[in-house]
Amino acid sequence: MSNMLKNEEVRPEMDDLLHDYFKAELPNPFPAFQAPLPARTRRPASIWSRYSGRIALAACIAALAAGYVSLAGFFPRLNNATGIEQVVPNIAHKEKGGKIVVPPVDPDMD
Amino acid sequence: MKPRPKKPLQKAAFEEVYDRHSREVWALVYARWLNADIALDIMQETFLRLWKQWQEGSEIVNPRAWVLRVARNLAEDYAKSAFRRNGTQAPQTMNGVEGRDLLPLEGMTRDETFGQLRKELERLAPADREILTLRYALDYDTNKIAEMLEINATAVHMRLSRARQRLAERLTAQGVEVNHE
Repeated sequence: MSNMLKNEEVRPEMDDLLHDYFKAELPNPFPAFQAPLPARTRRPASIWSRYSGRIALAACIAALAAGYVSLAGFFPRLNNATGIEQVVPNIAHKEKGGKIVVPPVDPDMD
Repeated sequence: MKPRPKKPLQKAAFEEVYDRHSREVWALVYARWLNADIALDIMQETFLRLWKQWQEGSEIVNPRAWVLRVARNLAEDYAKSAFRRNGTQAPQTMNGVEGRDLLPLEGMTRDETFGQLRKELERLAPADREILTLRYALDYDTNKIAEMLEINATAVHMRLSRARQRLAERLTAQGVEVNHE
């Protein structure tokens, strides 16, 4: 028996089968075109936005320094350099025979 | 003052090209790979490239020919990349037929028939698959297929008839009832 089939015999069935197969494969609904969003071009950053952090930091330091200087003017300045009243003699100086020995001054210190 | 580009008009024209040719592009790639998802991806990539070309102001005289050519190239490129990713097996050989909302038994029968049909379609020449896809997925008649593929209408008719018969013989030999309903 021949395996050959007449084209007229198979045509309606094959038509149906192929039609069903390809229709099942075709995306339904077929996607509509969606234009991609325009690429966002990066604007050149302004000087302010680029250095705002540093400027703020500098302003803070300047305000701190100005506050320190202006507040310092309200308080009286003490005579000694440390600002602590000296009630006991300087233990670095040795007394010899009731005399205070002042350590020799190094001429190279200047 | 510099005139603003007419983007809405350009977009409308593009959408017209898309509506007219996107299914053809899909069918072309589908016929190559017999995979609906790959065909959809490549179709969208093709039109995205066309869109970029239009955005850049490139003049494309025949958009249809352009997209068909790009789609063919992308489909071939996919073959190379698929080979790299999957070795000697193309990915679609591992894909089953997707499930559909049918009753389980009907769905299984149909999936099995479609699976065998897909295997037999893979054995056909790509040119025959193109004709079958255009005929049955897009309902193109012989003349329109001939025009699209730039071949003789008689040749289309003959190849269509021969491919159909070959499929029927092979499926019948495997015990598939061609009348699947």
